[in-house]
Amino acid sequence: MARVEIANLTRRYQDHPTPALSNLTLSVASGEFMVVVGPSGCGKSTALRLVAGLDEPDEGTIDVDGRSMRAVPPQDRDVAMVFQGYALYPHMRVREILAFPLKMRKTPTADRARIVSETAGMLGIGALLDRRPAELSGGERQRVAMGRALVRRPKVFLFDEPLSNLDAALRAEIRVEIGSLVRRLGATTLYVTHDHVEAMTLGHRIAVMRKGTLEQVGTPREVYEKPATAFVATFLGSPSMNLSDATFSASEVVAGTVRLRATAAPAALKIGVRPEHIRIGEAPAGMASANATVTAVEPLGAETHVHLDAGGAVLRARLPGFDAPSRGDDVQLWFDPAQVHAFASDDRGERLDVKLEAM
Amino acid sequence: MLRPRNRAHPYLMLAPTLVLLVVFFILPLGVAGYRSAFSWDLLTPPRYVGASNYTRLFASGELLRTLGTTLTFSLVVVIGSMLLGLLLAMAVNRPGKFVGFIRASVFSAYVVSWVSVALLWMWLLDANAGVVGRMFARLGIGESGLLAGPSTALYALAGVTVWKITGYSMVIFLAGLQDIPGEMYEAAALDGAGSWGRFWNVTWPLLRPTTAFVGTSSLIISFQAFDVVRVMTQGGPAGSTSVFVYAIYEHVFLNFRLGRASAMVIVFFCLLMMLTLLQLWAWRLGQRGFRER
Repeated sequence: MARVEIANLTRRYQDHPTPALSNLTLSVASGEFMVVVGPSGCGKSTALRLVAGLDEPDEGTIDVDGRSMRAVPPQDRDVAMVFQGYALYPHMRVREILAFPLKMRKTPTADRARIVSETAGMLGIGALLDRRPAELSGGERQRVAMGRALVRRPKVFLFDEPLSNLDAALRAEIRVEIGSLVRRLGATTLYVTHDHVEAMTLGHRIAVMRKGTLEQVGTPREVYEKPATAFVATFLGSPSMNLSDATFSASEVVAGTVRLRATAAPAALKIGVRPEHIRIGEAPAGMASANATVTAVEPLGAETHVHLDAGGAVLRARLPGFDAPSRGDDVQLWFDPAQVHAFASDDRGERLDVKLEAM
Repeated sequence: MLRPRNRAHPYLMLAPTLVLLVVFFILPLGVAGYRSAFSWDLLTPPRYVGASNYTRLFASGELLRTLGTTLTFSLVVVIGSMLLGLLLAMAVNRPGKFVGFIRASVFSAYVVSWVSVALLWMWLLDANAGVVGRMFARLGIGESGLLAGPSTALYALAGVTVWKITGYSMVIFLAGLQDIPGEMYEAAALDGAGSWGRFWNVTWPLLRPTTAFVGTSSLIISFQAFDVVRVMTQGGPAGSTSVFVYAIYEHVFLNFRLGRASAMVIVFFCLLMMLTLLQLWAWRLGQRGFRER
């Protein structure tokens, strides 16, 4: 177990005007499971490769347990990585692949065999030890790739989108497995993904990235309930947060038919409310309400997604069960104004501390 | 299964290749087999001698000598060009204009005609005027010229052949190297393998099919060696560079012994056939477990 301290990390690539990673500062506590999440091209994989030592930063430092990783080659870093494409050696059998990191680190042969069979047992791949990667299914390959990382009990685990090559059902299954496995080992983990479900379910903390910069770090709950930027607000959660352009004048924030009272706010801003906070029907006291037209209804069984047009502001509501209005209905929606988030209207979209109340 | 509309169609498709194979390969081989039973000097009528061409070939020791010369030459050529080709490929396996220039330069030797290469190297190997020849003479090797010494001439020819075909091995090895996913090396580095460990556990095993291919093709090239011998040494000195294609040529065009030459063709055909089967077997072995990558 080890602390990972990343400070002011910047990586520029030739022929690219903007840095792939700019000024990333992130500290991962010993034994912490940190998920780095963001859309493709946000710099999350770049950051991971820098920690692994597969790439050198232009600026900034990485310390593992207080030891600088500058110019330390990957083989001397004591970090293990699970690759997106698994990177299993095609000419080796599973047994050899699992033993390889031990062999390279000169573990005695007898110990090697024991550790390999222990690890294989832990991952449920004991029966596959004599197969080659070409003879394994996607899920089995994924498990072998994890086993390869696990065998040497490294200080730091790195995961680079480990589930993205699997189908949805398997992904959900292995996601849970990874979670319990890593928690059991208690290892410091950096897990890169673009999937917000993986981020929410696996991480002790989540680091949300966008365009090479860190937008927010926090526990899943903090990040979900208090997103620092408009991007974070819409990236986490499905369906994503309803975000509308709004104006402020004469103590009133207006977006379509939605009107809220505020004492102070910029003239132009964005307001957002999560789909699960929108209800349909008569508004109780103190709740904000607005008139809207139902434009689409998507019943999913456990819940129904209702698309609403509130005077130009497009909203989605997430209602339980099948109980929902039909398309074309004029309805009244309501929500708790305390659940409304306000963001600056510029590209950065920083969270605004605006107190909103019902009219 | 796909069925041809007309039963003749598949054969029609095969015909061009089949005709070429029959006219230039199977038929000459048959003629050689027939001629090997006769003694013929191209002028007087052929005389039937049975298997005596073969027995003479074995008894005189000519066959063993030619075989030894050919195999020595091939061994040096195959090992030399593969080793150099692999080393060069690893050295130039990176982007960059300068590296690209080096790549093109090394490969260019492969494109030049054999005769030009032979003439160029005769000059370079000259003990008095040639750069390379003088260098070797100073080291005490082949003071009267590398091509003039019976112990050095064959190796000099092999060296020239290596120089010419290494560019080809390099290009094939380069393709093989670039076919290995970069992720493999990254995984190996994180697994704790240093640069030697990465070569030995990733590059070398994953290059096995490429190595087999380069080995086969350089072996074929080395067995076909004729031009360098014809231009540079004419099989001499003292028959030390008489590799088998040249030996056959000598029997036909210098000694007018067509029967003996034909017998040699047949014997070497059988040897090459065996070698090819061996290679095929090794190739299949190398391919196993690589189907899906």
